[in-house]
Amino acid sequence: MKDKSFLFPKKVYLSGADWFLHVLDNASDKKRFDFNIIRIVLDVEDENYATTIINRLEQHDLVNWMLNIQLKKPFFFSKPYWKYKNSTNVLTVNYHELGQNSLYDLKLFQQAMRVNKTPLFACDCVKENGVVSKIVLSIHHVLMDGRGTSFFLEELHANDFSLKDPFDILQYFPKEKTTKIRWYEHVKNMYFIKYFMYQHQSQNNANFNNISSNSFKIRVVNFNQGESLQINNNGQLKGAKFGLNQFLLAVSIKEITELFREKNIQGDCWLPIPYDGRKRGGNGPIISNAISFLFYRIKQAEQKSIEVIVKEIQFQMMDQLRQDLPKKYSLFLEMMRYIPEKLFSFLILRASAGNLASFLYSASIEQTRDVANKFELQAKNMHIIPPFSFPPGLTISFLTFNGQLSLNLVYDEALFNESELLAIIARLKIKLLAI
Amino acid sequence: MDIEAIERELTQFLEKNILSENVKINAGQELKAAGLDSFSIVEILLFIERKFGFVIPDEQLLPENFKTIHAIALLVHTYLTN
Repeated sequence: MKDKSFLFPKKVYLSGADWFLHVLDNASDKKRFDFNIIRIVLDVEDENYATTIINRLEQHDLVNWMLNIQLKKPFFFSKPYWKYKNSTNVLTVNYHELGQNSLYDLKLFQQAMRVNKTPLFACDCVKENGVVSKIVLSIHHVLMDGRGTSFFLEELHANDFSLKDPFDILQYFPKEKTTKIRWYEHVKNMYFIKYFMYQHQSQNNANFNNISSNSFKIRVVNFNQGESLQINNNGQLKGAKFGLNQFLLAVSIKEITELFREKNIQGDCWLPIPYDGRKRGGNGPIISNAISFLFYRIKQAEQKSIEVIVKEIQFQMMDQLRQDLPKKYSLFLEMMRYIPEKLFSFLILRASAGNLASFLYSASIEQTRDVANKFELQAKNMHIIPPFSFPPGLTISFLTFNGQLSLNLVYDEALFNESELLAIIARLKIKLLAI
Repeated sequence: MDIEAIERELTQFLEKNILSENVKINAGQELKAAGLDSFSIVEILLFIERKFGFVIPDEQLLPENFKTIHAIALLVHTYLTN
Protein backbone atom coordinates (compact mmCIF):
# COMPACT_ATOMS: atom_id res chain seq x y z
CA MET A 1 0.00 0.00 0.00
CA LYS A 2 1.40 3.38 -1.04
CA ASP A 3 1.46 6.02 1.65
CA LYS A 4 -0.51 8.95 0.28
CA SER A 5 -0.73 10.83 3.55
CA PHE A 6 1.54 13.57 2.16
CA LEU A 7 -1.46 14.56 0.02
CA PHE A 8 -3.69 15.23 3.03
CA PRO A 9 -4.45 18.90 3.62
CA LYS A 10 -2.40 20.24 6.55
CA LYS A 11 -5.40 21.68 8.29
CA VAL A 12 -8.99 20.58 7.83
CA TYR A 13 -11.13 23.27 9.40
CA LEU A 14 -14.22 22.17 11.27
CA SER A 15 -17.41 23.51 9.74
CA GLY A 16 -19.70 25.67 11.87
CA ALA A 17 -21.99 22.66 12.38
CA ASP A 18 -19.04 20.39 13.36
CA TRP A 19 -17.96 22.84 16.04
CA PHE A 20 -21.56 23.37 17.19
CA LEU A 21 -22.01 19.59 17.65
CA HIS A 22 -18.74 19.34 19.54
CA VAL A 23 -19.58 22.21 21.86
CA LEU A 24 -23.09 20.87 22.39
CA ASP A 25 -21.71 17.43 23.26
CA ASN A 26 -19.35 18.90 25.79
CA ALA A 27 -22.00 21.15 27.28
CA SER A 28 -24.51 18.36 27.76
CA ASP A 29 -24.61 15.62 30.34
CA LYS A 30 -21.00 14.58 30.82
CA LYS A 31 -21.78 10.89 30.99
CA ARG A 32 -23.50 10.93 27.62
CA PHE A 33 -21.40 13.07 25.41
CA ASP A 34 -19.17 10.28 24.13
CA PHE A 35 -21.97 8.59 22.20
CA ASN A 36 -22.53 11.03 19.38
CA ILE A 37 -21.61 8.22 17.02
CA ILE A 38 -23.14 7.14 13.71
CA ARG A 39 -23.09 3.34 13.46
CA ILE A 40 -23.53 1.54 10.16
CA VAL A 41 -24.50 -2.12 10.25
CA LEU A 42 -23.78 -3.99 7.02
CA ASP A 43 -25.39 -7.42 6.65
CA VAL A 44 -22.87 -9.78 5.11
CA GLU A 45 -24.09 -11.84 2.16
CA ASP A 46 -20.99 -14.06 1.82
CA GLU A 47 -17.46 -14.30 3.14
CA ASN A 48 -16.07 -12.67 0.01
CA TYR A 49 -18.06 -9.49 0.68
CA ALA A 50 -16.74 -9.27 4.26
CA THR A 51 -13.12 -9.82 3.17
CA THR A 52 -13.39 -7.23 0.39
CA ILE A 53 -14.91 -4.55 2.65
CA ILE A 54 -12.36 -5.13 5.42
CA ASN A 55 -9.45 -5.02 2.93
CA ARG A 56 -10.78 -1.80 1.47
CA LEU A 57 -11.17 -0.23 4.91
CA GLU A 58 -7.62 -1.23 5.86
CA GLN A 59 -6.26 0.48 2.72
CA HIS A 60 -8.61 3.44 2.81
CA ASP A 61 -6.84 6.82 2.87
CA LEU A 62 -9.73 8.50 4.63
CA VAL A 63 -9.86 5.80 7.30
CA ASN A 64 -6.14 6.33 7.84
CA TRP A 65 -6.79 10.07 8.19
CA MET A 66 -9.72 9.58 10.60
CA LEU A 67 -7.62 7.31 12.84
CA ASN A 68 -4.77 9.80 13.12
CA ILE A 69 -6.19 13.25 13.66
CA GLN A 70 -6.17 15.62 16.55
CA LEU A 71 -8.61 18.44 17.22
CA LYS A 72 -6.97 21.83 17.59
CA LYS A 73 -9.30 24.17 19.41
CA PRO A 74 -9.59 27.85 18.48
CA PHE A 75 -7.38 30.33 20.23
CA PHE A 76 -8.17 34.03 19.91
CA PHE A 77 -9.88 34.56 16.58
CA SER A 78 -8.64 31.41 14.96
CA LYS A 79 -10.82 28.51 13.81
CA PRO A 80 -10.84 24.93 15.15
CA TYR A 81 -9.24 22.40 12.84
CA TRP A 82 -8.24 18.74 12.50
CA LYS A 83 -4.52 18.15 12.39
CA TYR A 84 -3.23 14.95 10.83
CA LYS A 85 -0.48 13.56 13.07
CA ASN A 86 1.35 10.54 11.62
CA SER A 87 -0.02 7.26 10.37
CA THR A 88 0.79 5.58 13.68
CA ASN A 89 -2.73 4.25 14.31
CA VAL A 90 -3.83 1.52 11.95
CA LEU A 91 -7.27 0.00 11.69
CA THR A 92 -7.83 -2.84 14.12
CA VAL A 93 -10.87 -4.94 13.37
CA ASN A 94 -12.47 -6.32 16.52
CA TYR A 95 -14.41 -9.58 16.33
CA HIS A 96 -17.41 -10.45 18.52
CA GLU A 97 -19.41 -13.66 18.74
CA LEU A 98 -23.17 -13.03 18.74
CA GLY A 99 -24.02 -16.20 20.67
CA GLN A 100 -27.43 -15.94 22.35
CA ASN A 101 -27.40 -12.13 22.43
CA SER A 102 -29.49 -9.91 20.26
CA LEU A 103 -27.29 -7.79 17.98
CA TYR A 104 -27.96 -4.39 19.54
CA ASP A 105 -27.32 -5.69 23.06
CA LEU A 106 -23.67 -6.36 22.17
CA LYS A 107 -21.20 -4.22 24.10
CA LEU A 108 -19.73 -2.77 20.92
CA PHE A 109 -22.82 -0.55 20.54
CA GLN A 110 -22.12 0.97 23.97
CA GLN A 111 -18.50 1.72 23.09
CA ALA A 112 -17.72 5.43 23.54
CA MET A 113 -15.59 7.63 21.32
CA ARG A 114 -13.90 10.72 22.64
CA VAL A 115 -12.36 13.48 20.57
CA ASN A 116 -8.56 13.57 21.13
CA LYS A 117 -8.72 10.51 23.40
CA THR A 118 -9.79 7.64 21.14
CA PRO A 119 -9.78 7.09 17.35
CA LEU A 120 -12.93 8.51 15.78
CA PHE A 121 -13.49 5.56 13.45
CA ALA A 122 -13.88 1.90 14.38
CA CYS A 123 -14.70 -1.36 12.63
CA ASP A 124 -16.21 -4.38 14.37
CA CYS A 125 -17.26 -7.74 12.95
CA VAL A 126 -20.00 -9.84 14.46
CA LYS A 127 -19.75 -13.58 13.99
CA GLU A 128 -22.54 -16.13 14.08
CA ASN A 129 -21.33 -19.73 14.45
CA GLY A 130 -17.79 -18.59 13.63
CA VAL A 131 -18.75 -16.82 10.37
CA VAL A 132 -18.85 -13.04 9.96
CA SER A 133 -22.50 -12.00 9.58
CA LYS A 134 -22.33 -8.23 10.23
CA ILE A 135 -19.78 -5.49 9.81
CA VAL A 136 -20.33 -2.52 12.12
CA LEU A 137 -18.65 0.79 11.29
CA SER A 138 -18.63 3.51 13.94
CA ILE A 139 -17.88 7.11 13.01
CA HIS A 140 -17.95 10.08 15.37
CA HIS A 141 -20.67 12.52 14.28
CA VAL A 142 -18.39 15.54 14.64
CA LEU A 143 -16.44 14.18 11.67
CA MET A 144 -19.23 13.29 9.32
CA ASP A 145 -22.95 13.82 8.75
CA GLY A 146 -25.53 11.46 7.29
CA ARG A 147 -24.98 12.46 3.66
CA GLY A 148 -21.19 12.22 4.09
CA THR A 149 -21.68 8.73 5.55
CA SER A 150 -23.71 7.80 2.51
CA PHE A 151 -20.95 9.06 0.13
CA PHE A 152 -18.36 7.11 2.14
CA LEU A 153 -20.42 3.92 1.85
CA GLU A 154 -21.04 4.42 -1.87
CA GLU A 155 -17.30 4.73 -2.46
CA LEU A 156 -16.59 1.69 -0.31
CA HIS A 157 -18.99 -0.35 -2.45
CA ALA A 158 -17.86 0.98 -5.85
CA ASN A 159 -16.35 -1.28 -8.51
CA ASP A 160 -13.57 1.19 -9.30
CA PHE A 161 -12.50 1.48 -5.65
CA SER A 162 -8.86 0.47 -6.24
CA LEU A 163 -8.53 2.48 -9.47
CA LYS A 164 -8.94 5.87 -7.85
CA ASP A 165 -6.62 8.71 -8.73
CA PRO A 166 -4.49 9.51 -5.64
CA PHE A 167 -5.49 13.17 -5.92
CA ASP A 168 -9.13 12.18 -5.50
CA ILE A 169 -8.54 12.08 -1.76
CA LEU A 170 -8.76 15.88 -1.76
CA GLN A 171 -12.44 15.55 -2.61
CA TYR A 172 -13.04 13.93 0.77
CA PHE A 173 -12.42 17.21 2.52
CA PRO A 174 -14.48 20.39 2.67
CA LYS A 175 -13.21 23.49 0.96
CA GLU A 176 -13.09 26.52 3.20
CA LYS A 177 -15.15 29.35 1.69
CA THR A 178 -13.05 32.09 0.18
CA THR A 179 -15.69 34.82 -0.09
CA LYS A 180 -15.03 37.46 2.51
CA ILE A 181 -17.98 38.51 4.60
CA ARG A 182 -17.76 41.88 6.24
CA TRP A 183 -18.09 42.04 10.03
CA TYR A 184 -21.26 44.14 9.94
CA GLU A 185 -22.91 41.52 7.70
CA HIS A 186 -22.07 38.93 10.36
CA VAL A 187 -23.55 41.17 13.06
CA LYS A 188 -26.71 41.76 11.01
CA ASN A 189 -27.02 38.03 10.40
CA MET A 190 -26.44 37.26 14.09
CA TYR A 191 -29.30 39.58 15.05
CA PHE A 192 -31.57 37.91 12.50
CA ILE A 193 -30.81 34.49 14.01
CA LYS A 194 -31.10 35.77 17.56
CA TYR A 195 -34.50 37.30 16.77
CA PHE A 196 -35.67 34.16 14.96
CA MET A 197 -34.64 31.88 17.81
CA TYR A 198 -36.11 34.23 20.40
CA GLN A 199 -39.42 34.20 18.51
CA HIS A 200 -39.50 30.48 17.92
CA GLN A 201 -37.45 28.61 20.50
CA SER A 202 -38.06 30.29 23.82
CA GLN A 203 -41.55 28.96 24.25
CA ASN A 204 -43.33 26.15 25.93
CA ASN A 205 -41.49 23.09 24.58
CA ALA A 206 -42.36 19.56 25.58
CA ASN A 207 -39.35 17.30 26.17
CA PHE A 208 -38.08 14.30 28.11
CA ASN A 209 -35.14 16.21 29.58
CA ASN A 210 -35.94 15.35 33.18
CA ILE A 211 -36.00 11.63 32.48
CA SER A 212 -32.52 10.21 32.26
CA SER A 213 -30.70 7.00 33.10
CA ASN A 214 -27.48 7.64 31.13
CA SER A 215 -27.80 4.35 29.32
CA PHE A 216 -29.48 3.74 26.02
CA LYS A 217 -31.03 1.09 23.82
CA ILE A 218 -31.33 0.60 20.08
CA ARG A 219 -34.29 -0.81 18.20
CA VAL A 220 -34.57 -1.39 14.45
CA VAL A 221 -37.86 -2.11 12.69
CA ASN A 222 -37.78 -3.38 9.11
CA PHE A 223 -40.54 -3.03 6.54
CA ASN A 224 -40.67 -5.30 3.50
CA GLN A 225 -40.93 -3.93 -0.05
CA GLY A 226 -44.74 -4.15 -0.13
CA GLU A 227 -45.05 -2.31 3.18
CA SER A 228 -42.50 0.29 2.06
CA LEU A 229 -44.55 0.97 -1.08
CA GLN A 230 -47.68 1.26 1.03
CA ILE A 231 -45.98 3.79 3.31
CA ASN A 232 -44.87 5.77 0.26
CA ASN A 233 -48.44 5.83 -1.07
CA ASN A 234 -49.77 6.82 2.35
CA GLY A 235 -47.39 9.77 2.39
CA GLN A 236 -49.01 11.13 -0.76
CA LEU A 237 -52.52 10.41 0.55
CA LYS A 238 -51.78 12.31 3.76
CA GLY A 239 -50.67 15.35 1.77
CA ALA A 240 -46.86 15.06 1.70
CA LYS A 241 -46.30 17.11 -1.47
CA PHE A 242 -42.52 17.32 -1.52
CA GLY A 243 -41.52 13.76 -0.67
CA LEU A 244 -41.94 10.93 1.81
CA ASN A 245 -39.80 12.63 4.43
CA GLN A 246 -42.52 15.05 5.57
CA PHE A 247 -44.90 12.13 6.15
CA LEU A 248 -42.34 10.12 8.14
CA LEU A 249 -41.56 13.16 10.24
CA ALA A 250 -45.25 13.88 10.82
CA VAL A 251 -45.88 10.28 11.94
CA SER A 252 -42.95 10.52 14.37
CA ILE A 253 -44.23 13.83 15.76
CA LYS A 254 -47.75 12.46 16.16
CA GLU A 255 -46.48 9.43 18.09
CA ILE A 256 -44.15 11.41 20.33
CA THR A 257 -46.77 14.03 21.16
CA GLU A 258 -49.16 11.23 22.16
CA LEU A 259 -46.41 9.91 24.41
CA PHE A 260 -45.99 13.33 25.97
CA ARG A 261 -49.68 13.36 26.80
CA GLU A 262 -49.48 9.86 28.32
CA LYS A 263 -46.62 11.00 30.52
CA ASN A 264 -48.33 14.30 31.38
CA ILE A 265 -45.67 16.36 29.64
CA GLN A 266 -47.15 19.63 28.43
CA GLY A 267 -46.02 21.83 25.56
CA ASP A 268 -45.42 22.16 21.85
CA CYS A 269 -43.22 19.90 19.79
CA TRP A 270 -39.99 21.71 18.91
CA LEU A 271 -37.65 20.15 16.36
CA PRO A 272 -34.42 21.22 14.70
CA ILE A 273 -34.18 19.36 11.38
CA PRO A 274 -30.85 19.01 9.56
CA TYR A 275 -30.68 20.65 6.15
CA ASP A 276 -27.95 19.38 3.83
CA GLY A 277 -25.98 22.41 2.68
CA ARG A 278 -24.17 20.57 -0.14
CA LYS A 279 -25.00 21.15 -3.76
CA ARG A 280 -27.03 18.19 -5.08
CA GLY A 281 -25.82 15.47 -7.44
CA GLY A 282 -22.18 15.52 -6.32
CA ASN A 283 -20.24 13.05 -4.23
CA GLY A 284 -18.62 15.07 -1.52
CA PRO A 285 -17.30 16.29 0.72
CA ILE A 286 -17.39 13.25 2.97
CA ILE A 287 -15.72 14.89 5.95
CA SER A 288 -17.58 17.56 7.94
CA ASN A 289 -21.16 18.23 8.84
CA ALA A 290 -22.17 20.29 5.83
CA ILE A 291 -25.50 20.92 7.44
CA SER A 292 -27.64 23.74 8.64
CA PHE A 293 -31.06 23.52 10.28
CA LEU A 294 -34.73 24.23 9.82
CA PHE A 295 -36.79 24.53 12.99
CA TYR A 296 -40.33 23.23 13.25
CA ARG A 297 -42.79 24.05 16.01
CA ILE A 298 -45.93 21.95 16.08
CA LYS A 299 -48.29 23.57 18.55
CA GLN A 300 -50.58 21.46 20.69
CA ALA A 301 -53.62 22.49 18.64
CA GLU A 302 -51.87 21.30 15.47
CA GLN A 303 -51.05 17.85 16.85
CA LYS A 304 -54.55 16.50 16.12
CA SER A 305 -53.87 14.49 12.98
CA ILE A 306 -51.02 13.44 10.71
CA GLU A 307 -52.54 15.44 7.83
CA VAL A 308 -52.51 18.66 9.87
CA ILE A 309 -48.90 18.04 10.99
CA VAL A 310 -47.78 17.36 7.38
CA LYS A 311 -49.42 20.60 6.26
CA GLU A 312 -47.83 22.56 9.10
CA ILE A 313 -44.35 21.12 8.40
CA GLN A 314 -44.64 22.02 4.72
CA PHE A 315 -45.80 25.54 5.54
CA GLN A 316 -42.93 26.13 8.00
CA MET A 317 -40.40 24.56 5.61
CA MET A 318 -41.44 26.89 2.76
CA ASP A 319 -41.55 29.90 5.04
CA GLN A 320 -38.04 29.28 6.43
CA LEU A 321 -36.55 28.51 3.01
CA ARG A 322 -38.16 31.73 1.74
CA GLN A 323 -36.32 33.59 4.50
CA ASP A 324 -33.10 31.77 3.52
CA LEU A 325 -32.82 30.52 7.10
CA PRO A 326 -30.48 27.53 6.46
CA LYS A 327 -27.91 29.77 4.77
CA LYS A 328 -28.19 32.39 7.50
CA TYR A 329 -27.97 29.84 10.31
CA SER A 330 -24.96 28.27 8.63
CA LEU A 331 -23.25 31.68 8.40
CA PHE A 332 -24.04 32.22 12.08
CA LEU A 333 -22.47 28.87 13.04
CA GLU A 334 -19.41 29.63 10.90
CA MET A 335 -18.94 32.87 12.80
CA MET A 336 -19.33 31.12 16.15
CA ARG A 337 -16.19 29.08 15.43
CA TYR A 338 -14.20 32.15 16.45
CA ILE A 339 -15.87 32.30 19.87
CA PRO A 340 -14.07 30.55 22.75
CA GLU A 341 -15.62 27.15 23.45
CA LYS A 342 -16.77 27.93 27.00
CA LEU A 343 -18.49 31.14 25.95
CA PHE A 344 -20.17 29.43 22.99
CA SER A 345 -21.34 26.62 25.25
CA PHE A 346 -22.71 29.12 27.79
CA LEU A 347 -24.58 31.00 25.04
CA ILE A 348 -26.16 27.81 23.64
CA LEU A 349 -27.38 26.62 27.03
CA ARG A 350 -28.65 30.04 28.03
CA ALA A 351 -30.50 30.57 24.76
CA SER A 352 -32.11 27.14 24.74
CA ALA A 353 -32.75 26.96 28.51
CA GLY A 354 -32.50 23.17 28.26
CA ASN A 355 -35.06 23.03 25.44
CA LEU A 356 -32.85 21.91 22.60
CA ALA A 357 -35.48 19.66 21.04
CA SER A 358 -38.55 17.59 21.89
CA PHE A 359 -36.80 14.66 20.23
CA LEU A 360 -34.27 14.30 17.43
CA TYR A 361 -35.16 13.30 13.92
CA SER A 362 -32.39 12.41 11.56
CA ALA A 363 -33.15 13.53 8.05
CA SER A 364 -29.65 14.04 6.78
CA ILE A 365 -29.96 11.05 4.48
CA GLU A 366 -32.94 11.97 2.36
CA GLN A 367 -35.45 9.22 3.00
CA THR A 368 -36.70 9.12 -0.54
CA ARG A 369 -33.19 8.35 -1.77
CA ASP A 370 -32.31 4.67 -1.79
CA VAL A 371 -28.74 4.31 -0.53
CA ALA A 372 -28.34 0.96 -2.29
CA ASN A 373 -28.91 2.52 -5.72
CA LYS A 374 -25.28 3.45 -6.06
CA PHE A 375 -23.81 0.31 -4.52
CA GLU A 376 -22.04 -1.92 -7.04
CA LEU A 377 -20.75 -4.40 -4.50
CA GLN A 378 -23.96 -5.37 -2.74
CA ALA A 379 -24.52 -5.70 0.97
CA LYS A 380 -27.45 -7.94 1.91
CA ASN A 381 -28.93 -5.15 3.97
CA MET A 382 -27.79 -2.06 5.81
CA HIS A 383 -28.91 -0.02 8.80
CA ILE A 384 -27.67 3.32 10.02
CA ILE A 385 -28.09 3.70 13.75
CA PRO A 386 -28.39 7.40 14.58
CA PRO A 387 -26.27 8.88 17.36
CA PHE A 388 -27.39 8.90 20.94
CA SER A 389 -26.35 12.34 22.02
CA PHE A 390 -27.32 15.21 24.24
CA PRO A 391 -30.80 15.44 25.71
CA PRO A 392 -33.65 14.76 24.84
CA GLY A 393 -32.36 11.19 24.69
CA LEU A 394 -34.56 9.98 21.84
CA THR A 395 -33.56 9.88 18.17
CA ILE A 396 -35.69 8.55 15.34
CA SER A 397 -34.41 7.98 11.83
CA PHE A 398 -35.56 6.23 8.69
CA LEU A 399 -33.53 4.69 5.91
CA THR A 400 -34.43 3.15 2.57
CA PHE A 401 -32.20 0.34 1.35
CA ASN A 402 -33.03 -1.83 -1.67
CA GLY A 403 -36.57 -0.48 -1.69
CA GLN A 404 -37.07 -1.44 1.96
CA LEU A 405 -37.70 1.14 4.64
CA SER A 406 -36.33 0.74 8.14
CA LEU A 407 -37.14 2.68 11.27
CA ASN A 408 -34.26 3.17 13.71
CA LEU A 409 -34.80 4.21 17.29
CA VAL A 410 -32.17 5.10 19.87
CA TYR A 411 -33.56 5.98 23.28
CA ASP A 412 -32.72 6.47 26.92
CA GLU A 413 -33.66 3.36 28.87
CA ALA A 414 -35.47 5.47 31.46
CA LEU A 415 -37.96 6.78 28.87
CA PHE A 416 -39.79 3.53 28.15
CA ASN A 417 -39.83 -0.01 29.40
CA GLU A 418 -39.98 -2.96 27.01
CA SER A 419 -43.78 -3.21 26.88
CA GLU A 420 -44.15 0.55 26.35
CA LEU A 421 -41.61 0.37 23.54
CA LEU A 422 -43.48 -2.48 21.85
CA ALA A 423 -46.66 -0.43 22.05
CA ILE A 424 -44.89 2.59 20.53
CA ILE A 425 -43.57 0.48 17.65
CA ALA A 426 -47.00 -1.06 17.06
CA ARG A 427 -48.62 2.39 16.98
CA LEU A 428 -45.93 3.76 14.67
CA LYS A 429 -46.53 0.83 12.29
CA ILE A 430 -50.27 1.50 12.28
CA LYS A 431 -49.73 5.20 11.57
CA LEU A 432 -47.30 4.46 8.76
CA LEU A 433 -49.28 1.67 7.13
CA ALA A 434 -52.92 2.53 7.77
CA ILE A 435 -54.82 4.13 4.91
CA MET B 1 -42.66 33.13 -22.82
CA ASP B 2 -42.59 29.75 -24.57
CA ILE B 3 -41.97 26.38 -22.94
CA GLU B 4 -38.34 26.15 -24.14
CA ALA B 5 -37.53 29.55 -22.62
CA ILE B 6 -39.05 28.49 -19.27
CA GLU B 7 -37.04 25.27 -19.42
CA ARG B 8 -33.86 27.30 -20.02
CA GLU B 9 -34.61 29.55 -17.04
CA LEU B 10 -35.25 26.55 -14.79
CA THR B 11 -32.16 24.68 -16.01
CA GLN B 12 -30.00 27.73 -15.42
CA PHE B 13 -31.40 28.17 -11.91
CA LEU B 14 -30.81 24.52 -11.02
CA GLU B 15 -27.27 24.39 -12.43
CA LYS B 16 -26.27 27.62 -10.72
CA ASN B 17 -27.96 27.22 -7.34
CA ILE B 18 -28.91 23.64 -6.61
CA LEU B 19 -26.70 21.22 -8.50
CA SER B 20 -23.08 20.43 -7.84
CA GLU B 21 -20.37 21.83 -10.14
CA ASN B 22 -20.10 19.89 -13.41
CA VAL B 23 -23.53 18.30 -12.98
CA LYS B 24 -25.57 19.04 -16.10
CA ILE B 25 -29.25 18.38 -16.46
CA ASN B 26 -31.59 18.26 -19.43
CA ALA B 27 -35.28 19.05 -19.56
CA GLY B 28 -36.39 15.42 -19.81
CA GLN B 29 -34.20 14.04 -17.03
CA GLU B 30 -35.81 12.92 -13.76
CA LEU B 31 -34.99 15.45 -11.04
CA LYS B 32 -34.82 12.79 -8.32
CA ALA B 33 -32.24 10.83 -10.32
CA ALA B 34 -30.15 14.00 -10.60
CA GLY B 35 -29.98 14.13 -6.79
CA LEU B 36 -32.75 16.62 -6.00
CA ASP B 37 -34.61 16.18 -2.71
CA SER B 38 -37.70 17.68 -1.10
CA PHE B 39 -35.84 20.85 -0.07
CA SER B 40 -34.75 21.36 -3.69
CA ILE B 41 -38.36 21.09 -4.90
CA VAL B 42 -39.32 23.86 -2.48
CA GLU B 43 -36.40 25.96 -3.77
CA ILE B 44 -37.78 25.52 -7.31
CA LEU B 45 -41.24 26.62 -6.15
CA LEU B 46 -39.78 29.72 -4.53
CA PHE B 47 -37.80 30.48 -7.71
CA ILE B 48 -41.02 30.27 -9.75
CA GLU B 49 -42.67 32.69 -7.30
CA ARG B 50 -39.83 35.18 -7.67
CA LYS B 51 -39.20 34.83 -11.38
CA PHE B 52 -42.70 34.39 -12.80
CA GLY B 53 -44.65 36.19 -10.10
CA PHE B 54 -47.27 33.60 -9.18
CA VAL B 55 -47.72 30.88 -6.59
CA ILE B 56 -48.43 27.35 -7.78
CA PRO B 57 -51.66 26.33 -6.07
CA ASP B 58 -51.67 23.50 -3.59
CA GLU B 59 -53.72 21.16 -5.79
CA GLN B 60 -51.06 21.36 -8.53
CA LEU B 61 -48.24 20.27 -6.19
CA LEU B 62 -48.32 16.72 -7.50
CA PRO B 63 -45.27 14.46 -7.96
CA GLU B 64 -45.92 14.16 -11.73
CA ASN B 65 -45.77 17.97 -12.11
CA PHE B 66 -42.29 18.05 -10.55
CA LYS B 67 -40.75 14.99 -12.14
CA THR B 68 -38.71 16.79 -14.79
CA ILE B 69 -37.85 20.33 -15.83
CA HIS B 70 -40.15 19.85 -18.83
CA ALA B 71 -43.11 18.94 -16.57
CA ILE B 72 -42.52 22.04 -14.42
CA ALA B 73 -42.16 24.24 -17.51
CA LEU B 74 -45.49 22.95 -18.86
CA LEU B 75 -47.17 23.83 -15.57
CA VAL B 76 -45.62 27.30 -15.44
CA HIS B 77 -46.55 27.88 -19.09
CA THR B 78 -50.19 26.99 -18.40
CA TYR B 79 -50.38 29.59 -15.65
CA LEU B 80 -48.56 32.24 -17.64
CA THR B 81 -50.84 31.91 -20.63
CA ASN B 82 -54.13 31.73 -18.70
